[in-house]
Amino acid sequence: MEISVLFFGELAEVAGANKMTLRDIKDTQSLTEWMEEKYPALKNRTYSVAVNKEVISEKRNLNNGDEVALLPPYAGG
Amino acid sequence: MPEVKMEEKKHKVHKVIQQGAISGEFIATSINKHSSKTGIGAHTIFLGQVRSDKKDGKEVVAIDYSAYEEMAEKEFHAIREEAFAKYKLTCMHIHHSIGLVKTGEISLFVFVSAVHRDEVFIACADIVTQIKERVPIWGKEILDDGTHLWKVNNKYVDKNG
Repeated sequence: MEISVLFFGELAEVAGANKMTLRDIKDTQSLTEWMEEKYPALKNRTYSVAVNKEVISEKRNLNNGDEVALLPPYAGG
Repeated sequence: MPEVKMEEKKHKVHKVIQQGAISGEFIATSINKHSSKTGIGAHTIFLGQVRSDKKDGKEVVAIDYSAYEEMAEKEFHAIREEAFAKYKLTCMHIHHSIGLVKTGEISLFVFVSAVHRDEVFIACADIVTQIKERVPIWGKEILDDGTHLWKVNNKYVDKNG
């Protein structure tokens, strides 16, 4: 099982990447825990999580091929 | 069924995001294109301009915009559909830059048209607020010493504070 993770704005700097592929992550909570352990600076950042281009408010199970994005506060306009 | 076709045309998915600043010529052309739509009595235009903020003695010289493009286009489309459902609009156009936009240049162009003025004033303000709150776009503020900061939008403040 493989998912892709996208990083935007300041979070791409924190992760040092725009995109990565991860295996065997069962849900979004495991993903953010894994990320915050790998990139401790994430703990001090505000961000939301999108699964397949939809922002989620609760933990979501992940399936093969899902696209997860970590989104810092929007700053359009 | 010509009625259905017209409806589809009105609500077709427009690409909102464009590379670089939005020029005055582009805006003028967009206005001119509406002269044949003689049922329109009122347009409102919002132009977002890149501001030269001062940050710790440094000055913003440009904003480098980036977006989660597929999701951003989806949100722009949803905002557009909701605005057509909420307000009696004849037409609406939204354009937003990505990439580098220098201070003094335009990065957001919202153009709302209707039969009467009341509708367009309210709709335009609402659409701009929705864009700022819902669309995944970010801005890297380039400072005059070559460093950068990440743009933070002012929270929309309603009448209750």
